[in-house]
Amino acid sequence: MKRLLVVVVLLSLMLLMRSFQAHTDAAHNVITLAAIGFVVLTTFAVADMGTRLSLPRVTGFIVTGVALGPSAANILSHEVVTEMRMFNTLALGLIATSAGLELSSKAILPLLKTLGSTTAVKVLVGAPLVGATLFAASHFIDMGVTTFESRAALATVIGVLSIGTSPSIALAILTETRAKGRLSDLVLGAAVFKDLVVVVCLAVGVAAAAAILDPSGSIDASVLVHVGRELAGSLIAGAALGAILIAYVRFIQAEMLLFVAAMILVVAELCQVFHLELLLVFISAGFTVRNFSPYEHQLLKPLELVALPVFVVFFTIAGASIQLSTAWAIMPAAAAVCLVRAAVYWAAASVGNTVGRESRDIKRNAWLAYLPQAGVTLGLVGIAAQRLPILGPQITTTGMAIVAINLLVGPITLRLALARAGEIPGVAGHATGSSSTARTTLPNHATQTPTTRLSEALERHVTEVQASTRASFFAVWDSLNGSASEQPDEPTQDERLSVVRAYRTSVKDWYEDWTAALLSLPIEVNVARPLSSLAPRSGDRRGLRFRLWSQRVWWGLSEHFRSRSVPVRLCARMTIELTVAKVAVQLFDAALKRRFAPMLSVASDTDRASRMQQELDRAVNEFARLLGSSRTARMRSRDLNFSVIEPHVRAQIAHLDETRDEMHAARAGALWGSEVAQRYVDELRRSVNGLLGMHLSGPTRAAISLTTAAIGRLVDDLSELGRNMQSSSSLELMRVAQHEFNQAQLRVLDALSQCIPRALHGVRELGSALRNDIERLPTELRCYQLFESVTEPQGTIRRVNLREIAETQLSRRLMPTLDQSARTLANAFVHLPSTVKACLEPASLLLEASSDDVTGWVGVRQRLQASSSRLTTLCESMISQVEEEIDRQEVSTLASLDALEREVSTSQLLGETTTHRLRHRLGQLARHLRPSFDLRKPEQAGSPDARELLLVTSRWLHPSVGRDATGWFSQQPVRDERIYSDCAKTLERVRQLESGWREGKRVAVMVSGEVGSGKTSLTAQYVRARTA
Amino acid sequence: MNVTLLLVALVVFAFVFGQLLHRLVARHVSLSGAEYLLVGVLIGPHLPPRLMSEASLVRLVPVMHLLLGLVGFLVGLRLKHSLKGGRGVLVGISTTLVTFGVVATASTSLATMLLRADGPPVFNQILFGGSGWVFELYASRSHLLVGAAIGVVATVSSSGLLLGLGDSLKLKSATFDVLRSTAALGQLFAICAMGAVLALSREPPTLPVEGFGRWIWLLAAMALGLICGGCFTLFIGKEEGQSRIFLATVGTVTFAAGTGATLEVSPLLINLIAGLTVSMLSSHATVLLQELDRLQHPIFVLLLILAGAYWSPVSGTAWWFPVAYIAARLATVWMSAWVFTSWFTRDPFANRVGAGLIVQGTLAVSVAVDYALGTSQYGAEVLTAALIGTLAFDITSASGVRRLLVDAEADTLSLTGTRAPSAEKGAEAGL
Repeated sequence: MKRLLVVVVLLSLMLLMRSFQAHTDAAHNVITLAAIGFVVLTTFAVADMGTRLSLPRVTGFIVTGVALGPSAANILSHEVVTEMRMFNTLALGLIATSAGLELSSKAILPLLKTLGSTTAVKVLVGAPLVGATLFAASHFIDMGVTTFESRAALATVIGVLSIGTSPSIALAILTETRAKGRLSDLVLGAAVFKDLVVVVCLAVGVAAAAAILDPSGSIDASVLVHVGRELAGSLIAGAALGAILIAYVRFIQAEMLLFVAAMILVVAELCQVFHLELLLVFISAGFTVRNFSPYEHQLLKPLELVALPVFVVFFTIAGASIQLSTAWAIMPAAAAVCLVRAAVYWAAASVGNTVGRESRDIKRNAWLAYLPQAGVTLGLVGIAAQRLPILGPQITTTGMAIVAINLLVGPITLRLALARAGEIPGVAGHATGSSSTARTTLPNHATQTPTTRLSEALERHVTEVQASTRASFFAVWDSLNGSASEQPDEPTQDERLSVVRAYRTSVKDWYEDWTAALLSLPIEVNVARPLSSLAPRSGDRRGLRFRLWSQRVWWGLSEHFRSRSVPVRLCARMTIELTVAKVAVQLFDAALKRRFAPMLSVASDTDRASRMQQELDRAVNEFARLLGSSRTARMRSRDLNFSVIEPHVRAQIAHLDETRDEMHAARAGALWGSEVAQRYVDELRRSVNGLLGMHLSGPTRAAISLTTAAIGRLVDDLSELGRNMQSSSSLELMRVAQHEFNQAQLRVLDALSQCIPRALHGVRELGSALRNDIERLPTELRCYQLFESVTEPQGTIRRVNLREIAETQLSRRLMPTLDQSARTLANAFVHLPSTVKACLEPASLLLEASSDDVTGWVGVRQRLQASSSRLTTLCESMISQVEEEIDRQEVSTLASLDALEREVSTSQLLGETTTHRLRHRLGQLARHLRPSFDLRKPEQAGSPDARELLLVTSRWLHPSVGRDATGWFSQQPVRDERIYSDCAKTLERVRQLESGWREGKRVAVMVSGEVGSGKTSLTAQYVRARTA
Repeated sequence: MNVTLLLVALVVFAFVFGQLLHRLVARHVSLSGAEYLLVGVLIGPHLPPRLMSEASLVRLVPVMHLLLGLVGFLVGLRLKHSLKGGRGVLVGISTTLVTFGVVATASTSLATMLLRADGPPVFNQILFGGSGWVFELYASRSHLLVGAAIGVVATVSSSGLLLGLGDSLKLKSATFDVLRSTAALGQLFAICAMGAVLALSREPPTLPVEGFGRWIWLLAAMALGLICGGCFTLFIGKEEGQSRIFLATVGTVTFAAGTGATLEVSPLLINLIAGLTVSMLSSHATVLLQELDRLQHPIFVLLLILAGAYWSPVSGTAWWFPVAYIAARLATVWMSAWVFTSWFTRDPFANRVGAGLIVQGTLAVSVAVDYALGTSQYGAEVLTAALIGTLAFDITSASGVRRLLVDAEADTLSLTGTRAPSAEKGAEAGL
């Protein structure tokens, strides 16, 4: 009501302003600014009111635009609308950049199948059908085209234009509803992808239309080349723009909003100059930022701030641009075209979703999401009209009318599709209240609180399931741990295979036992339904409230409605089975790790077990919740659908499949390789530390202790000499001093002369010893990625050249550091003798001092004491210097060894992972193609017999081959004579022999051959023929 | 050149120039943002290389109206926080009125001497005379409008600088309160008075009710402001979404500025009242202020650049206007602030309060631009006086404000034993 009041007030003000407008002869329409403000407020208010009718805001914007625009109320005059179009470029740029920022390659790649096939159907079937519809309609409705050629040309262009889906509406609705999920990704991906396709198709379509109109003309290949150039140029320009954006965010990141707006406007002008596709450039730029940098949030933040005003103005202008009178005249034809387009989209979405194996919700609703058309298509209509001036007005009118319908209807259908697919937060899904991202996420029953406390019977079942699941889990855990705790040695491929098979059998048995135990649960249990469970809650939707009300009524009328039947077994399957399958895979994985790489296991066994146990407990809790809410008004019977869970369970169990034994064995080998690599690294660490002690730090410490001892003695001598100075005769002192000091000097210098080269020599010896160690390292070791987060085993096995890594880290990085340290140590010792000599100077003075000169003696004594203390200080500083240097050596050695370990963990990871992924994808492709090739290759082209077929099929066991078909090539005898085609000659020969026997000849027939060669089949066939 | 591209080029050039200026000159001269005026002048149509033509400037007029609207809305939102009661208000009212009176009188006198009258005098009073000479008071309507407009510009003091410094240093001194109140009152007075001047400069509309005359435009502007503010409050309601609040703000300000432009009344005044209404009625005022604070710098920069570009040099004796403006304002503000502060508050820094009110900031330029856009008569003279005055005051006096505030704060805090903020800290805060 308040907003309505605001609208009325603003509308009155606008009308009042028109009458008081100061002057209208200005260079610009002075009311434009007020009109923009009015549009922003009014449109948003109206759109907000529309949301109460469950209409998307975008529809509200468009409807308001239509109502206020020149075709209707004319509050926004034609001039104002024209002036407001200056926002279009900015808006399109912002929308396209935001769309690009939403496109993660990781999210898009899995959609390619669906998108590709959907678009292919739209292009190949949709465009011709829509064109044909328009062609037919033009016979009945006056569309300004009279000749066959002009009708055909118009139909061609409009047919092509019908392919598009609006990225701006898609983004606006996704932003408004905050929808997330597979359908959201599909819609955005489709809108962007089809934008590419429609540009190419339009170029071709316009060329074709021109050729139809002018029979002397022809479609030139240069059209495609030109379009190709434009597209390639746009993509490259977009990538460059993305790089600029990344650089700006990385190095400047100031005034982001202004920068982005300025960039969009400048680039839009450049696009015009260089004939680039504006949308593609910005989508590509956003895509680059999203996928090649971590800065998408810094860019999205300012865009989100202005997104709403931009959407409001953009869509209002789009609505106001619709010429109602013109569109109305050909509305029946446009409506027919839109209906056919919708039908084609339904078919295209069905095909695409089937090919892409999308979930049921997506299959049902995707076509609704593809319907919107808006600004981009309007722009393309303008381009087409410009390129075909003869048909310009007709293309514009028809295109506008069709876009008008899709513009009004599209946002509603898109929102509906997202809501029905359960991708809008806070809106219950159509089918199960579950997410449509069935491939990746599962229904979140945690959000559905039980309507009642569980009855005793149900509680008992929950307890039983929990107890049995726990018990069986711990049993299999213990059994796997028992077999996995053997010490690993170098396993052969066969050994690895046998271990893998044993583990697989254990966990699969556990899974199957658990599913078998489900049979002990009752199918359904009847429990009482209290009236309180039918009370509505705040936030309940109208439909739900109505259901609750009607059930309350029935509850009072009929006994039947006072109880409910709970499908216990189904609930258990829906909630716990997938978790059990996942835990089975985790158990298998943990057992492999424990067996082949116990050192590398990041998590302890207890942690792993408790994590898995918690998962199982959560699933049981979920089971309890589901029991509480199933078959109530809040969750009806049809919402319980195991088919949603089943593909995921199957996918999990497929991880344990026999056909993957070799892959698991290879992974086990890689795990073992990682273990070995870690051992080598540890061994090398020990060796380097030992060598460091033996060759460098050991000798140096010995040298320093020797030097310290020598200097200590010298200090003692000096102190003694000082004490005896007064009591001894000068001659005696002279003798002692001369003797002692000469000896001391010799000892100190001798010690130093020994330790300096030893230190340097030690480094050389350490280097050669290290080289010997490194040469023993393997050059190729298959390792497994150590990070827990990576779950795809096939993508994480890599080859590690341990020797090369060690060579780089130790010889090239560590050794120069050690050499430098040794030199520093040597320098410390080199300067020592001169310092010691300087300290001894007082002693030589002593020899010259006169015994009678008391003053001279006192001075000499003081000098001796000073020398003594200097030597002590020197000794201490030297010790600390050398200790420091040794510590530094050890630190750098440790750093090098850590770097080595890191490099072993991560080397070649990126390249290898990419290669493995590529190889995996190529492998998948090859597996698809192989059967066709094998069956068609020259040697098979004649008439392959069963054995040959068996050989072929045994190599390409593929899930797409049905059970019946694989049965044809199995080892079992053929019972069905229709498919018995082998050994016709042999059978004939037996028949001949039988005829001979019947004629009295002595005949004995022995059928021999390898296992599976068809002996039993032959005999059975013969007997069957005889019996018949 | 395409108008949008022009705008982009403008912004980019301004930022590059601003950065260079800050790197090269900021060591020697205190920069307050007024340097962007110079940027505008440099790229305007009157100096080579003439990046912008007259025609392109005309196309940017709606943008200028919008920017004025945003400035007015911001001032309106802030007034509630800036206006503290007490004796500071008395100082503010007195200083503002005296400044307006003195500068307006001086400017009107100068206009009477230098500018041609556009019609009969509004008053013509002979005061005294002698044989062959008389001394008379004489002014036409256009002279009075020019004088009033320059007087209005003179009352503006930069509250942005004061508030910025106050926030960063958490100032609590009485001097700061006086300065803040005076600046806020000056801004309020300036915008309202400029609204009145613009209303009076227009011919009255033909209305069924008589008696309002030209004042009807002023009333219309105020009513529009109230309606826009009320609409905003109604529109937002209890909405918490940031983007919706932003949208409503953009819509309201644009609409209010647009109505001002359409009716040729002051968009500043309409938005000021709208902002004031919102700050009084809406619970979102604080959030909104925070949101708009982020946009404040770009808005101010763009407005200063456009104002610089919009300026056209006056000819001949009209250059006396800026000289007289600077002299009159400097003397009046300094003296009146000293006298009234001493009188009302007995602040020990009363003799330096004037120094704190000298800096003018973006609002003075906005008020002048509002006049120049709203009336075609002698807009260049008013804009010249305002731009040169603002440039001179801001470049020479910004550091004085810092010193005054820091000294006053140090004096206040020494009584409580709290550590005083240093002038360097203020400088580090970039103010």
